[in-house]
Amino acid sequence: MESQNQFINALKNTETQASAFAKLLADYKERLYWHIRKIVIDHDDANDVLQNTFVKVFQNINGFKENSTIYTWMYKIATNEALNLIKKKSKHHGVSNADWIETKVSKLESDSYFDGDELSVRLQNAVSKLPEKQRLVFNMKYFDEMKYDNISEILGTSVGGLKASYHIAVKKIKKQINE
Amino acid sequence: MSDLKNIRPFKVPHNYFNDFDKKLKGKIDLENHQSDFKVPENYFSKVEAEIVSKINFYKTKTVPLFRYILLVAAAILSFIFITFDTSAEDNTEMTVLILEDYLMENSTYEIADHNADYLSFEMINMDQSINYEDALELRLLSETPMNLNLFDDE
Repeated sequence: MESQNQFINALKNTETQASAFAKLLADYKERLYWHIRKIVIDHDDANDVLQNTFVKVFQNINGFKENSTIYTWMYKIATNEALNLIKKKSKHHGVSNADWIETKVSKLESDSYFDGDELSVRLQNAVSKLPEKQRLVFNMKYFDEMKYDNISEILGTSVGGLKASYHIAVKKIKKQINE
Repeated sequence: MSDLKNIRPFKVPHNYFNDFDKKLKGKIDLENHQSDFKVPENYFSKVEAEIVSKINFYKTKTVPLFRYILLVAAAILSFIFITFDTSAEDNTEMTVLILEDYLMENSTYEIADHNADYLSFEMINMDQSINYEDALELRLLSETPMNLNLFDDE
């Protein structure tokens, strides 16, 4: 915690923020990218969201309340940014958020930045059909192997609620894949 | 006893070692769940530069300083301008008053007799923005015969 405080102070200090931010980028860019990518599916969208996320992190670092870790705070920003992008794009195209994601997933096989096999495509299809919250929980638990405590902090849901969501999501996915 | 050394009591499933690589690869793939999604070559090194280019690290420090310098410069300029302008206005006003007084006190004939040095330097500051000759000329050209006291002599 002490080292985190020092790091946050380095990010807030104009003298040291450039080097501290470079470290932040180096440490978190890939993790955040994969988290975002699984939400928005498309690489270009993930790239936009990743950049916006880091810009927002920089712009709001002075307002960062140190009652959470910077890691969960950044995940929260990335998640919100990703969901906002889906909302914006689906609204622009006159479709629902769920339809937007399902359409993206249906194009995965022809996506040059996706090389999953048939089973992988079926898994992504099944995940795309989940309600938004369950989809997020499933991605964070199954793919990112995050702890429920961290997911709880990011999504603002109780651990019990998350466990139930994940359980329901897994059941739905299994059913979907076996159909 | 030495023969026992070559006897292996433990057995492995049929083709275990042949399938081991495949199974291990499958396990690694499972653990690396996101491997199905790909990114363009060198994406992560490029995106870092892109993000940094969008951020002005010294913005919070240099801009206020720059603004501060600008504000100070603007304040100094405004002060000089206002002071200069005010003093010019005051001097012009003073000149007008002196000239008015001069015109009231002297007849047109007297004025005609006076040369340019008649008004002393003490009366009209040489630093003022309008010199008394110009002021006098302006006054004479713009005033009515009444103001010029043309009838005072009568």
